[in-house]
Amino acid sequence: MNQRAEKMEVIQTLVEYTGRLINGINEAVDSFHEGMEGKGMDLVVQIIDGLKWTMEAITLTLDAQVEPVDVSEIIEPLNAMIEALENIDYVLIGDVLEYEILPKVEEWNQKLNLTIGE
Amino acid sequence: MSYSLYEKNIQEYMKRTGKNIRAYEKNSNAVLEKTKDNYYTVKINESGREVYIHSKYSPIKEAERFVEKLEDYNIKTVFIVYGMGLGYHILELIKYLHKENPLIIIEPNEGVLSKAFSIYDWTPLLRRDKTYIFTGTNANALKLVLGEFIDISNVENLMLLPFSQYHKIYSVFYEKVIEEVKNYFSLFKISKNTKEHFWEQFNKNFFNNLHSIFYQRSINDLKNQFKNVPAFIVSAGPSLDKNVKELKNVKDKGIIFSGGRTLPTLLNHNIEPHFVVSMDPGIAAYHVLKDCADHKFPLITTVVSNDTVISEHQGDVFYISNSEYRGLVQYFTQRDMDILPLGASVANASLAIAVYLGCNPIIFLGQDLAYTDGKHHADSCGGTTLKEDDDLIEVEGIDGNKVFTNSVWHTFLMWMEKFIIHNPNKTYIDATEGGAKIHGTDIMTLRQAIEKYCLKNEFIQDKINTIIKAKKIGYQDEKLQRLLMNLKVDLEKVHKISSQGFKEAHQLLNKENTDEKDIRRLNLFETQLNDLIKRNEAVADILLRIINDIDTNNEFIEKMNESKEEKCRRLINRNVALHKKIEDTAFNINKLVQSVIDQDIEIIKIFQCSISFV
Repeated sequence: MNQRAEKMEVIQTLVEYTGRLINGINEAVDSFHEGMEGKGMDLVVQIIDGLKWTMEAITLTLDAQVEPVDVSEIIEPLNAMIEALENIDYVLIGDVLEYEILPKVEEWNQKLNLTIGE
Repeated sequence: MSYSLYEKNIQEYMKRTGKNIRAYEKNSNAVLEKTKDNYYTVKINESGREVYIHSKYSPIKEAERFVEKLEDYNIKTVFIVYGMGLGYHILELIKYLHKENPLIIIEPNEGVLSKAFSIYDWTPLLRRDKTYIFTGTNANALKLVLGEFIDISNVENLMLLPFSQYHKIYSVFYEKVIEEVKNYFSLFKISKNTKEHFWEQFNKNFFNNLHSIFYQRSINDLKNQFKNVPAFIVSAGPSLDKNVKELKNVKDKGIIFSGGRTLPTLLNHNIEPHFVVSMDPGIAAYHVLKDCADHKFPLITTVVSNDTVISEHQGDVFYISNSEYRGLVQYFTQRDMDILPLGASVANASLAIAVYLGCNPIIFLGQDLAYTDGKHHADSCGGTTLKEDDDLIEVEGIDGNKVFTNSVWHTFLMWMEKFIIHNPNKTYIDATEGGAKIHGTDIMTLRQAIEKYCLKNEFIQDKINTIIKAKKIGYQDEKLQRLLMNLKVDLEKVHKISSQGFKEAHQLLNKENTDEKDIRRLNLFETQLNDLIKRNEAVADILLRIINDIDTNNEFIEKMNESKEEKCRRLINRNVALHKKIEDTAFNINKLVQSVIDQDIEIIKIFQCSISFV
């Protein structure tokens, strides 16, 4: 398999993975709203791990993407998340997930979809 | 900040609660911040960390989500919201509430409420009926507020809604809130279960006691007759044996109240109580004192207390009325007879009676409310030891150490503490010398209490004798007969109306497409019953408690946004239950009335015979 084909396969995985990540973020947001902070925090840990892998994979496949994803856009929301986590501010954690991170991951998912739909 | 808006809210809040929220503004840890969608959120600095109370992106969406969780409530549900914040969720919630729904909002941080007052006009909410915004973290103050809203009719219809992360930020107070709500729940649940359990027993007791109620004294005859006389309330806790003998020194310098269980112990120590208090409607009240049930000490009891205790007793009786028999008592005696808050134990009742009589201070002994030395009761009162399956609750002891109590005693303890809070102008002494701490009492030994407070002869026995003589009622059996016959006739009418009402409502259960016409027809039966209620206060008592029971049953309370069909179905079911209950009750009470008539006729015959013989 050539390098491009390998990258296309990774992008395919990324599309599926970001789809699951979106579901996970929504579930975490619901957990915080329903007062299930414990479950929400477990999901946040998994979401941050997932974002880390997603960002690495996006960076590695940048040259194969039709509409390249700028992962640096997520730095600011992640900093806000760190601040919220430090303060154990569940309202802010939920807010950052819902209004900052979720729209970015949805946008990435759409852009990556364009590449595999080519 | 709009100054006039803020001032308006502050003034209205002060009017309602007496609390000046402005005083908290200066040291507030709450800061307003604009949200992304141009509303406000509030950020607080709590224990060194900064946290948001509302979303800083969309507090309105957050408020909408808050009410999405609402389900299974009706127009009588009591809403307790933990967290006011800036109140977006409260405004959303109000849209879904009926004007009948009580709403208690608890805001632990006064500074946050101050911010809410600065951005919105809360006066309509503050003026709303059955609404209270509680601020701060004083559990005792909260207990009083909850007591204003929670009662026996809605205790199973409460909804506690924590908002946002309030339950995490103010978690300690949240635990307190849950504890207080649970306490009310168990307090009223016990009361409700007792009433349901003793419903028939109450009726039987009342009519069996009726002759005595008719001729004996009312508790009102004792009202404030013993101002500032020390009262000693003797209970059967394990510590009683330690110090009961000291009571001999009270003599006529203080009033001694005994329960049934403690009477043999007192008599064994040659101590004569001034009053014996008996409350229990069940036969257990008789069993605890049966060896001396024929005592002659004045008995203070209620109109529905155990009939055997009253019939065996050989002395005078002072009756306390009962909220559900007020009309019946009035109908038969045409005298004032007060209802006292009697709690759930003889000691609870004795406390309320002592205060009613004007006594001060009130001194408790044998009031362990805990398993002192692993025992239920004092050995002299038939003490049993702690069993493995007893439910144990840890509470603070009088020496600050932990002691074990159970859920029933805990209810008695809570009741006492609440009563003390509501009656602050008295001195309360716990001279038990052991057991659980009763908050609001001073702790001392019984000897110290007697030495400190029993300073002069109060001639209590003479006073009691004078009152008893002055309130003697002469022979009036024919009058009692007339009243009984009149009640019997009216109850027969009630029975007839409800039998027909039940029959028609029952038929509608199987009818498809019922409509308002059917309901109007059913309402006619209730209208006829209402006419009888208006005419006869005894009938009113009997019927209104059934109607009240039915109308506080969640099954029959109007649901929010119910359809016409659901409404018809609910009202038909209500009528079936209502008329069935009334039909049965009227029948059963009439049997009791008839048995009193028969007994009284016998008495009248004997009386008339003795007159003609003389």
